[in-house]
Amino acid sequence: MAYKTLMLQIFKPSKHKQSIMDYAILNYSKALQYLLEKYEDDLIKLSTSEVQISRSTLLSIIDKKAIKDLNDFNIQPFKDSLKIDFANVAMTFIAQRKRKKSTSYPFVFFDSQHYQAYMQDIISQFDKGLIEKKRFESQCSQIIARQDKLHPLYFGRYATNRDYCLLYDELTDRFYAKLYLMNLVQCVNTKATSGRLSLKYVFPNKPPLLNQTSKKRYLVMPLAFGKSQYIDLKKALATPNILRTARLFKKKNKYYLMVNIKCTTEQSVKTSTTMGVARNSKGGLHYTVCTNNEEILSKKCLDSVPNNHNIFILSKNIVRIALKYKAQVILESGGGKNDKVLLNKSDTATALTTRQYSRLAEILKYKLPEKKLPSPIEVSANSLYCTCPQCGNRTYKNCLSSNIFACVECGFATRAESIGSTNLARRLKKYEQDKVPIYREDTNSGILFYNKHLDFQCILPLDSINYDQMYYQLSLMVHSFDKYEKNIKKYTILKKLRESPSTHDAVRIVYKKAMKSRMP
Amino acid sequence: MSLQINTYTDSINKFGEELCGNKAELYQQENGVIAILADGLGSGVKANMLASLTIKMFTSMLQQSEYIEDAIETIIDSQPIDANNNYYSSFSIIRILNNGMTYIAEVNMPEAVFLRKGKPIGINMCKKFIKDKAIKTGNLTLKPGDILTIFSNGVVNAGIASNYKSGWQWELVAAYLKAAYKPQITAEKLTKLLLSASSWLDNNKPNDDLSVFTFQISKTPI
Repeated sequence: MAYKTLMLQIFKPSKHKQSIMDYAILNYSKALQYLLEKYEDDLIKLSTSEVQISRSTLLSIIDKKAIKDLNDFNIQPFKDSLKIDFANVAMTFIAQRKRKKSTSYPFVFFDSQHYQAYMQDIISQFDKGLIEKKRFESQCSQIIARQDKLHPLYFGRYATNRDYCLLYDELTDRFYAKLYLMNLVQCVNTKATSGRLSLKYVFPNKPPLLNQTSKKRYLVMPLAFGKSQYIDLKKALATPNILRTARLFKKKNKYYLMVNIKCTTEQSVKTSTTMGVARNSKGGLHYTVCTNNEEILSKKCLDSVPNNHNIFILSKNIVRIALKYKAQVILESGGGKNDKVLLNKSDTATALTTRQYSRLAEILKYKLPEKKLPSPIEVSANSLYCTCPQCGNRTYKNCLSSNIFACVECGFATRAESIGSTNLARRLKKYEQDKVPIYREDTNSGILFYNKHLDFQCILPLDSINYDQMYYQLSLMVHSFDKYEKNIKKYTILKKLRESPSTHDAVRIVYKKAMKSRMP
Repeated sequence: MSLQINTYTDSINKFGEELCGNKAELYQQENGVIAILADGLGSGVKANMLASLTIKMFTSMLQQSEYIEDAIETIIDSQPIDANNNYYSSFSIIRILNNGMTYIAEVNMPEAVFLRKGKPIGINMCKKFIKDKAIKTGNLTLKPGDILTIFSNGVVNAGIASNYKSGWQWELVAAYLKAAYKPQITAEKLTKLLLSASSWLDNNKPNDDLSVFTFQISKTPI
């Protein structure tokens, strides 16, 4: 499912409303930091365990006492959201820690006391020689950057009576945000809005907001936004169920509400071509559009200085080209790690990093469905730049220079920069043509046929000449699966075999040398 | 020790031309082989005729004299010159004796690529002038497993028209031959690979005639 974030500015809030928002964000940050400090040992322990950690596991570690203690921070209106946010931060930390052991523990808020304590702790660690200079510098800069920086306030639900929701005034064609920021003690006895407005909830059937003078735990504030956000909000008005979570934060004395909306996935453009978009060896991106017959329709560089703004421009261009050719966009998975793109020293400054490429992939995941194109498909980027698009020969020898690619197997040669995108554009076809390997091995009990991913094993007598029995057993196994298989790899192979008209044509036999250990 | 010399030559015409402007010929002799690769000026019929003329002259010279150097000098002496002072044909000549002793002469042609154990090794070439025309000559001794490749100017300039400003140049041609080398590779495979790569660099529409001549040395089977 693709999501999109709308950045909506809270338009000129009064000083009173500003103070309420400041107070809520501060308390929220403090409370989240409190939870993180309290469960630091538990989370570090979990990060070293082999067990798969789910969000519910993390939510369950917050005990009743901690929940009660949270009330001291006056965060009753968003306590549930806080717990979810804590679980999210913890999950990210655990996942990163499992990948990289040096990942530091998350800190979301430093007040002056904490700041001094942490600084002293790091300095003493450095003095004792427990941490290296590089680590010391990075930790110091991290703490300095985060001093007094507040964590965005998370609203986990879109509802009329808690967390947050949007309102719409038909007369002025303006949108408003209704944010639950106060508890019962803090709430004020006032009208929700001025009498001139007739606000309706952005909800099914658009119920009106009752503007009575009573104690209110929420604020209603007008929103400011651009043209594209306006279009999205109008969409939300028509289909309110696309509105999801939100975050409130302050930046340069302005307040913003970041609203997550679900992108509509109804696909109406039927794709007839494939478009590979790869990192370019000369910097920026390179794309190739191929027909289903692997004929190249267009290939070009998309040069750009890589920064956050230009990534949006690049993604816009990709969407435009994909729409023009009705193309299924294919990207490198994992940000293009291991694609072996050859970069000149002069090009490294303009080349897209794996992080920037991943960011681009994230943007395209919602930008393409917006234009009714399918979401991009990410395929393995392993040795993308040293694989021949003509014959599939994969060797580093093919990369003759940073400019020229020349296959040492079939003699195909071209500009090196187009290799990655051409391979991507043709990879789906290649996957389609690839056959499922069934390994054949001679054992004492007979000829063993197996495929580990399928959990398939079959033994035929040693003197067997044809393998019809094995094919029969395989097809029985394939057609006996009628439920969804959790193991993605197994599911993909099964699906491929099921869709093939003949099992014979969909598999290839791979001869293996006999191993003593592999006994049925 | 007597050696076996495996050779293979092939050409690709310039895009749109029916005749190739390069010509290659191999002469088998008792004590070895002599090969010539001639590249006629321009392309098409004219280049084909000029290259053929050079080959014819060389053939008749060889019949009259044993000395290959004399034949080369006579060819240069008798070649006409165009308005821009260019000779009408460039050529490379290689003589490999059965004992591996090899003589190379190049007139306005790219340097030969010599692979020993798959690695390109520079050949010591001497430069001399006949009628202001530079001739590069060199001697080397080939061993079993060695590969010697000569090619026309079109090969090193491949890609100029479409992709690359100055073609892929000699260094990359040598690097490609090194990359494509395998102990079991044949002269035919190497020739075809180099021709194919050169052609692909011009999107299979070569801007010049492409010719490759490969010599592979092996032990004489007993």
